[in-house]
Formats: sequence, structure tokens, C-alpha cells
Amino acid sequence: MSRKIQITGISAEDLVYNKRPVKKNAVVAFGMAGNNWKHLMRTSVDETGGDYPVWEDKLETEFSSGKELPTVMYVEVSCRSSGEDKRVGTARVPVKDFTGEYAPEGFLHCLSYRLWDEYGKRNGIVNFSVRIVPTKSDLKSGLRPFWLR
Amino acid sequence: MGNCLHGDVKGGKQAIGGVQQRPTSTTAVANNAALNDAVDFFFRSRGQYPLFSQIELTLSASNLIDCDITSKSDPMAVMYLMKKDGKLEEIGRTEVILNSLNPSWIEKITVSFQFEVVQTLVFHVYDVDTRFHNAPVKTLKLKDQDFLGEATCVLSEIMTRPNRTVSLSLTCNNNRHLGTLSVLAEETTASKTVADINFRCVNLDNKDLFSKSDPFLRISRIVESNAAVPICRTEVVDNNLNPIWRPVCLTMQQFGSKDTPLVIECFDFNTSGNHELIGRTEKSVAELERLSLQKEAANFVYPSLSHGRNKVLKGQLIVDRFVEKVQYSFLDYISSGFELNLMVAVDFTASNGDPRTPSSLHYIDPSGRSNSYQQAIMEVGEVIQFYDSDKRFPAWGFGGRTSNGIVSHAFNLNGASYGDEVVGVEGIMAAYASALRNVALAGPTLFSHVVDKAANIASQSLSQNSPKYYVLLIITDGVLTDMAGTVDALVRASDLPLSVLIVGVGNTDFKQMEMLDADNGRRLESSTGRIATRDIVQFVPMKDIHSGQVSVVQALLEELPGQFLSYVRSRNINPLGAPAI
Repeated sequence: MSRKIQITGISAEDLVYNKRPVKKNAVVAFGMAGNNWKHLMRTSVDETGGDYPVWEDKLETEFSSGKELPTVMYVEVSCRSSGEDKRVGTARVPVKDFTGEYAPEGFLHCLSYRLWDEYGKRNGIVNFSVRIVPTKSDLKSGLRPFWLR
Repeated sequence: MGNCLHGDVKGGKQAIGGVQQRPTSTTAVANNAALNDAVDFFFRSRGQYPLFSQIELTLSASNLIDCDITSKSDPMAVMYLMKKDGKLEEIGRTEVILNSLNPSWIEKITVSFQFEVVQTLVFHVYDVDTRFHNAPVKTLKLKDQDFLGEATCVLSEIMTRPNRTVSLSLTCNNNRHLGTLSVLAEETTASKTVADINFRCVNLDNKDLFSKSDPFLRISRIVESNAAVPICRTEVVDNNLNPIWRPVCLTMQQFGSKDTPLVIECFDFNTSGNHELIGRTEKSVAELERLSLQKEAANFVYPSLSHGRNKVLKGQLIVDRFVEKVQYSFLDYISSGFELNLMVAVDFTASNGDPRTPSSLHYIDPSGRSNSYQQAIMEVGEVIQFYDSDKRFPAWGFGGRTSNGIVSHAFNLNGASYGDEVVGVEGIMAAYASALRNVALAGPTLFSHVVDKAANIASQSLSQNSPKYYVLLIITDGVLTDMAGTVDALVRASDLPLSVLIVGVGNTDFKQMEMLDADNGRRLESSTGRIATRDIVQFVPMKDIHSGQVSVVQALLEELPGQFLSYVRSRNINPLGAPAI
């Protein structure tokens, strides 16, 4: 039985690359630590946003509930210029922040995390939302709860 | 030419006037209409139906005195209502304009115009000192600023003039002529339409010598008397002749109607405050919508000094995106069935003083006079319980040693082991009085346990089918011991339908609480690197309320509608039964 995770990369703020604010083409990628995920899920490039890019891109991935979920998800914001992706900052998100400890499953978690650059310095904030899609058997019992949008 | 970098250039470059629309924006909706809705509803429910209409005042001044040595004054205006006893109650403030002796402020001040009462308005203009430039206007202490002048008028006097404008002389004690203040009054319309617009420009003229222009847009509305009232300003984009600004969100209140002509001016930002005009254009909101649909651009013109034709420039204004939406108000949600639920936590730490001594904040006076805690519980409880449907509140104490000898940071105030609920404000008072007899004051002051409990209750309610929003009221006397732990708990709770209202009693320095309130725009950051999704804290010191400067209802309800709206709007949740946007 597999469960789906929906991630929406919403926006990022105050991105700095090479001591100057990022001008354009920022992209955010999400990936789980561990062996289950080798590939990252990427949003589209925001060409105009500058150091305050907005993506609002919905990404989906599946995992089978038999295996253990990894404990950490990495969120990486990079800047695409001259063909390659330059890493601007990374955030380390504990997966238990959105897997049901603080709110029921199916709840849309709107989260924000500090981004750290490769020197370990603060470099902006990334905003995204995550949600574990409840399975059909969860939904069968009565109406869908109101707040779980 | 020495125009030394004056004060808060970064603050001067920020956007003013548009409503924030980011999904995870933590700034409370700066919408005066939301505040007045909630306060208005509260009074109406008690049978107090004042006859009034909401008026919005736009201020501008000219010929102000120069108080700064190397540059010009940085003026800000504050408006007060004179009450019957002669005391002044602050109604609102404008923003700070850098380096100008002829400011036209963008921030409007809202006041209720009551027909049958003489309302005397008093305006004070201040020069804001450089060291305060980075602070939000709300937190500025006026006695630290330079006073530039005062003006008085009666509200009905403004309303009865044909173009609703009045010019007042600014005076000080020695009656010198210190400049003129102009006040324009307009009625507010509770319209729910907002327009979300993405602007950008191409081919702007270069006005700077050694680099490129630093452009920003200023949007003004033309009123009947052909004067232009500024409604908003974008942020400044440095060094760019093809700038792209962040989206601007205008309410119908700001732009009037879709056909009202708006003047859009593009300026080059100068740290001296003398922003140079690059070009201007006149478009109504409907025309901006058409520009975006048909992917056309509008050319800027430069007004000619002589009576010749205006010069048409190469620079163009482009509307990348135009979205018209409906924004529901706080009351729309409440009246459709959203419930507010109150929870209370009382400080039982030893810093309050031994309850048996009269100087203690917890002293129960046999003559019946309420102590600070009882006053806070009653005043706050009465206001918020109005919005609570079942009047059953979980009530806890923290920092006290209960009968089993252990210090608890979230014990049931009613002393029961089975449940933590009490009924009504009287229930809270009774539980508080009995807890004082059974619980010994201890310490330290920690909020994290009660915040976690409240967050737990809020998250459990998510599985139910009726929408509930929770308000945790914490009444405390003092200084937090574990700031980091409290911040962590607040950040964890920031994604839930919960607001934390902290009321400070006593005379301590509440600087820590003001940091939690995040009014300075810095979002709370936890020790794990997670950042608060939204600002869920509001702090009110009781002594501000009792000195008569702010009314209780206004202080408490100030941020709550905004925090509630930031939750529902970011998740696209509409009032029950309302059509989807």
C-alpha cells in the first residue's frame, strides 16, 4: 500500500549568492535522505522573482508504507545560470514535522525553514507546504474533517 | 555633494500601502476594517448601536521645520481624539517619510465619525530620530522623538467642507508658525474586492550618474478636487532599468472603483529623499486589467514644464498579472459558524510575591478590590468569551507547586485531576481563588508547557468537522526564564489554528514579550531552524490599558482578526457556505 506526499514549493525570501541578492532563475528541490530517494523533486524556474522567488508548484511523490520513512528531508534552493544549478541554500527538515505528530494526517502543513549556505551561514528562508494524502480507507469513516484542506 | 547616508535607507526603500498577500506571510493583515469589524460587533451585541460611519483621513504637510543638521526632518504624524476629561487617546499613526519637509503620507488613519458627538482631533507631527528608523511605527516612543508641531480641529468641520479638506497651522507652545497640515477625509467602504497586480517596467531612463536608476512606483488616486492621494508605493529595486516589483495588492477601499483614474509615477530613489521623477502614466484599475489581458504596455510620459506637450518616453509599464479576488472579513467567518475557543493560563511563580502580603500581585483583598490578575481575567475574559460559543474554557496555572509537592508548568486551575475545564469567566475566577489557597508559588517562568497543551488541543480539533480557532490567554507578571524553549513551542504551534495572547501585569520590563510578538517583522526562529509560519503572539501590557492610553477592547482585538485571517486565507478556506473564490 503506498501513500502519497504532496509538496508545494511556495516561495523563498532574502536569497543571497556571492554576496549579492539573487537576480533570477531560482529553483527549489526537495529530496528525502536515505536510499529510497536518489532523485530530487524540482519545481519550475522562477525567472522574474529575483531574491524573492515564487513558485507555487505542486509536486507529488509516493512511498510504500512498509518501509520506514526517512527521518530528514532536504530542501535545496538553487539558482540556475549559464546552464548549471548553483546551490544557494539548503534546509534540513525533520520528517516528523509533517508526519502526524503535531497534527492529524492529511493536514496541510505550511512550513518555513531557515536556509543555510555552504559556509554554514544563514541565507534566507524557504516556504513550502506538505501534506500526506489520506488513503481512501481513512476517508471512508464519515465526512472529511473541515480543517484538513 | 555631501548627502551623507541618512538613517534607515533600507526602511525607506520598503513597500508601503499594499496589503500583503503571501501565503505564508506572517505580517498581520494591516487592514483597519478587520479591527473595527470585531470591535463593532462586540459593542453592538451589548445593545450599543452607535450611529457612526467610518472615515479615513489622509494627511500631508508643508513647510515643516528642519530639525536635523545634515539632512531634513523625517516626519511622522500621530492623531489623537480628545476625550471629555481632556486626555488624548491615540487613534493612529502614519508612516515615517525620510528627508522631507513637505511629506504626503500614504498610511491612512481610520476614525469613526459620530454625528451627534463633537469629536476633537489633535494632530502631532514628530521628527523621528535616526536611531529609530528601523523600528515599526507602532512601537516608536513619542517622547524620544522631536516634536515638530500640533494642530487641532473638529471632525465635523472637515466633513462639512465641500471637498472634505482642511488646512491647519501647526503650532507649538510659543505659537510660532511651524508649517501647515492638510487633512482629507473620505468615507470607507467595506468592500471585499481586492486586485493583485504584478508590475514591471522596461527601458526606463537613467537618472543616476555613476550607476543605474533605483526605480520604484507610487500609485495615487485622483479625488474630486483633482488632488492626488497616494495609496501605495512599491519597494525599491536597485540599479535596474528593467525592474520587476513584488506583487501589489490593492483593496477597493484604496482604489475607489475600477474606473477611478489612478496616477502611476515611477521615481528614482535617492537617499536624500529627493526622488527624481522618471515618468508617469494615468490608468484606472480596469485599464490595468485590460493591459494585462491583451499583453500591452503603457508608455510613460514626462510632464513638460512649459505648456507644451508632455514628452512620451521610451520607458513602459507592463502589467504581468492581474487577479481580482474576494476577501472575506473576520466577521464573515465568525457569523458563518467559525468558533473561537478560549483557554487561560495563570502565572503562579514566586516573583508575584507571597499572596498573603498586600503588595503581592496575587493578593486577594478582603474588601473585595480585584488584584491585577483578577482584573486581567475579567476584562480580557469578558471580551473574548463573547466570541466563544460554549463558554467552557480549559484553565491552567504554571510555575506553582501543587499539593503533591511537584512544581508543574501546566496544572489544572480547578484543582481537579479529571479535566481542566471551567465554565464562564466566573468559573475562571473561582478556580483561580481556590488555586491560590492550594498551590504554593514557585518558579521558574516557562510558557512552553501551556503552549504545547494548547497546541495539542488545537491539533486534535482538526479531526473534527466543525472549524474551531483557539485563543490561549497567558497572564504573567514577568520575565521568561526559558526564552528558547518558549520560542520553540510557539514555532511548533504557528501552523495550527491558534493565537497566543499574553497579558503582562505589574511593572516589569516586558521587552522579551515584545520580541515574541514579532511586530518588528522578524519571524520567530526555533532552535531546529524551523521558522514560524505566522505571527501568532500578541502582547498587551495591562498598565497601558489602565493609563487610559488604549481601550481594552481595541488592544486585545487588534491582532486577533488578522492572525485568524492569515490562517484561513493562506489555506484558501472560505466562510461556511460561501461560494469558492
